[in-house]
Parts: sequence; structure tokens; C-alpha cells
Amino acid sequence: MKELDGVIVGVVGRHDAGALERAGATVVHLDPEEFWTAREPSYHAIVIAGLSLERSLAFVRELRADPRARLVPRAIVASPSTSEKLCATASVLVPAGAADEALVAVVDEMALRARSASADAQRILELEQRAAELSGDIDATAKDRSALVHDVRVLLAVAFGFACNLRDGINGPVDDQQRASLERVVAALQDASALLERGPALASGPGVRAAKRVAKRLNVRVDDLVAETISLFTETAAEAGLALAFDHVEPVSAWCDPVQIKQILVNLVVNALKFTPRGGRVVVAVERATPKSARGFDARANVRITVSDSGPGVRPEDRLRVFERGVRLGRDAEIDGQGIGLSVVSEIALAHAGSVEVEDSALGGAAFVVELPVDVRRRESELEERP
Amino acid sequence: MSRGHSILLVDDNPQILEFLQQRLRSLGYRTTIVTNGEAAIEHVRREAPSLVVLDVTMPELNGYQACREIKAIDRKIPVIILTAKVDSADRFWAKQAGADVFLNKPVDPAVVVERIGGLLANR
Repeated sequence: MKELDGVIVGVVGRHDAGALERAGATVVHLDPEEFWTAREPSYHAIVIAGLSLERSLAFVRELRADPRARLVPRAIVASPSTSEKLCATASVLVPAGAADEALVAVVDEMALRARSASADAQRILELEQRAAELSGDIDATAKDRSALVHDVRVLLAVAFGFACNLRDGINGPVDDQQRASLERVVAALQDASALLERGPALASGPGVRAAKRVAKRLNVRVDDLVAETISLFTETAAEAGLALAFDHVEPVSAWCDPVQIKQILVNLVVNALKFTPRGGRVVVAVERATPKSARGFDARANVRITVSDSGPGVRPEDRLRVFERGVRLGRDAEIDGQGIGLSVVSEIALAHAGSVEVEDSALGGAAFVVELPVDVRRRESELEERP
Repeated sequence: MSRGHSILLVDDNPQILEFLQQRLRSLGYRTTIVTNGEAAIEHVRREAPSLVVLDVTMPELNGYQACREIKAIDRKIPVIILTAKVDSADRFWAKQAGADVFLNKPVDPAVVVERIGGLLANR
């Protein structure tokens, strides 16, 4: 195999390129004016020799202006009298009268560089194509997710409507206990639909991202939200052999998103019920509290929600990690879960300019403490009193 | 009040309206479900229902367009727009189209029945 096999060299001007041909190169002799109409699709090197300065510079200008030829290495055969201006445009200078071997070596080096640049360009093209495919996949996934959200929304609306009919006795008489249960079903379906209405966030990722925005602040009785949540889990707790209790002494209101606060409560109560062994206790408390620090806005007081249990607790070294998305502690190994619930609690609390921490509980296990400002007013038309 | 009244229910997802149909029939209303705007307009022309409950997001002809056509046939037919779209602009478009009531899904059928009763009482 010869040194320059497969190499295509454009020789512009007067130069005996016999050495290049003997080394296996395909040499195309051209005048500069013919180059643009007759050139090969891709030269590995261009050798300029024996042209006047004016024609040489003009040719180099055209080469540089053409994105197809701009990067092709240029060798200029130069003598001591060759203009420095022209020499400066060369990728490499070849002394006039240089030995054949020198010219072959120069062209070999230029061809190597051209092939490397071509391989890089091809790789870039492949990466761009792959990026376009991935972008298409992402779009398709987003569309699939939107379609899924839509389908879930339809099913929720159907379930909600029939639950209302059952509640109102359309399908036959219901007793008070049945009506109360159906009210809870209706309320849960309404909350689920409200969560789905945070549509764009859900369409682009896991539902937890919706927690980072407070959709709508209402003046809400937080103790009522706690009572509603506890009523959802009373039977579940009883079946698990756990005592679930609500501890509060006074009504407590706060400007907050009631749907998101219920999410906090549900996630914390579910977490407590999961990790508390049979025979244990879970207590939810709500009270007014003094803010731990000034936050620079009109915060008159905090609402403190505490969910305490008699479970295994959370080690001090895990008390920050436990709120990170996807994190599951050693104690979680045998319990179902994806490590999302507590991260949602954290995100909602932060979105409300509040906080959540975990401490030791007087019951012997963990106490998750959420604090939210009672009154964070914003000058938007969204604020309204909850009837 | 419901005796003799017929209600046209329009949604490309008919299962969404079945619970409403169930409730209305229990109260003595006659009901028909169609699944697109063109069928709704045709039904209004042929059957002259007492009232129309119309979804917005439907292929080919959306609820606002269908509402305009229905009102052009008989401007006295009450139209309730029932939609999952929550943008305030949607209320505006519903009003522009001539709708009498705008309700968001998921909707308590008791609320829909109450609004239907109110609209038909005025006819």
C-alpha cells in the first residue's frame, strides 16, 4: 500500500506533482477559475504553486469563503520571494525545490488532518441526529403523558359524577354512614382532579414538580384540613392496629393552598402509619407558633403541624436526606415506596415560605414538624376568602 | 318542572355524561347524548331540545363553534358549556359564543341539574 493511497490533492497553478502521484495520490491539476466547477467533492489537500500573488490571494479568499473548502489544508509552494501576506494564508509552506519526500510527507500530514476533521464532522452530524431523535422521543413522551393526564382526568370526572349520584340517593336510598363515606369519596376525587389541573407541570415530569408552585392561596382553617385527613385514615389505622389521634386546642387559620396542605398531611400521615409497628400511636397536632426567624414579609405568626409516631424514628444523620427526592433510608428497605412523599412535603412547605424538619417524638419515634406563615399576602387578584 | 323537557348532552367522551344522564332521567327529563358538534347541530334542527349541555374540546367543531350555530338556529335554546378548561379566557369565549352558563369539570351533577332547572324555569 502506498503512502498517499486514497488521498485526493488539488494542485492549483504550475507544479510537477509527479512525486505525489507516485506515492499513490489522485492529483487533479486545475486553474483557479476551474476549481469551483470541476473540483472533487472533497479534497484532502490543496497545493498552490506558481501563481501570481494577486491570483493566489484571490483564490485563497474564495477558498475561505466556501464552507466546503474552508477547512481543507492548504500547502503553498513558496520561495524566498513569495509574499509574506500569501505565506500567512497557508496551512503549511513547502519550499520551492523541496525534495519529493518532503512534499509527500507534507501532503500525507495534511490528508491525516483532513480525515480527522471529516471524522469529527461526521461524529457531530451523528450526535445532532441522535439529539433530534431524543428530542422527538421527549416530545412523544410529553404527548403520551398529556394523553395519560387527559384520560385520568376523564376517569376522575366519571367517578366523581357517579359518586355524587350515589351520595344523593339517585341509585337508591343511602344511610347516613354511607352518605358520609360517599362525601369523602367525592372530596378525594375533587382533590385528585384539582391536583391534575396543575397540568403543565404534570405533563413534563413527575407530579412532585407541581408542588413547587402555590396555585391559589385561600384563608383556610388548617385544623379542619387535619380533621378531614385523619377521617380518611381512621379505618386504615384501626386495621393496622394503630391509634390515630388529632390533638389541637384552638381553631387555626392560614393563607395557603388547601389542596397542597392536604397533600402534606396525607403524605406525613401515610409515612407515620407505614413505619409505626402494630400497637403504636400516631398523633397529629396543629397549633399557632412563634416564627423562628423573621422572613422580611408580613408574617404575624406560624402554623405548626406536627405528625408524631411511636415508630423507629429517624437518625440525626438522616434528617436532611430524608426529604431528598428518591432517597430511601435503611429502615425503608422492607417497606414499599419510592422516596417521593417527603420530598413533596418539603417542596410544598418551601413554596409556602415555610419549613419542615424531623425531630425526636415524645411518643418515642419521629416527629415531622411543618411550619407555615399564617399570613403571607401577595397583591394578586387570586386572593379570596374560602366560603 | 322536568316533565316534557328534553336535554341534549354533547361530549366526544360520552362516558363523562352518563352520570348526568342518569340523574336527569331520574328526575323525569328525556335525554340524548351525541358525541360531536355537527351531530349536536343536526339534532337541534330536527328535535328542538329544551336545553343543550355542551363540551368544549371536541374534534372538527369545538363547543364554542357548535354553540354559535345552535344559537343561530334558535337563540332561545339555553346552552350550558361544560369544560375542563380553567382559563379565564374560556369564560369569555363561552359568553361570546352565546352560552348561558359556564361550568368547570369535574362538575357535581346536582349543580348542573340546579342550573338546568333555573334556565328552563325562565322559558
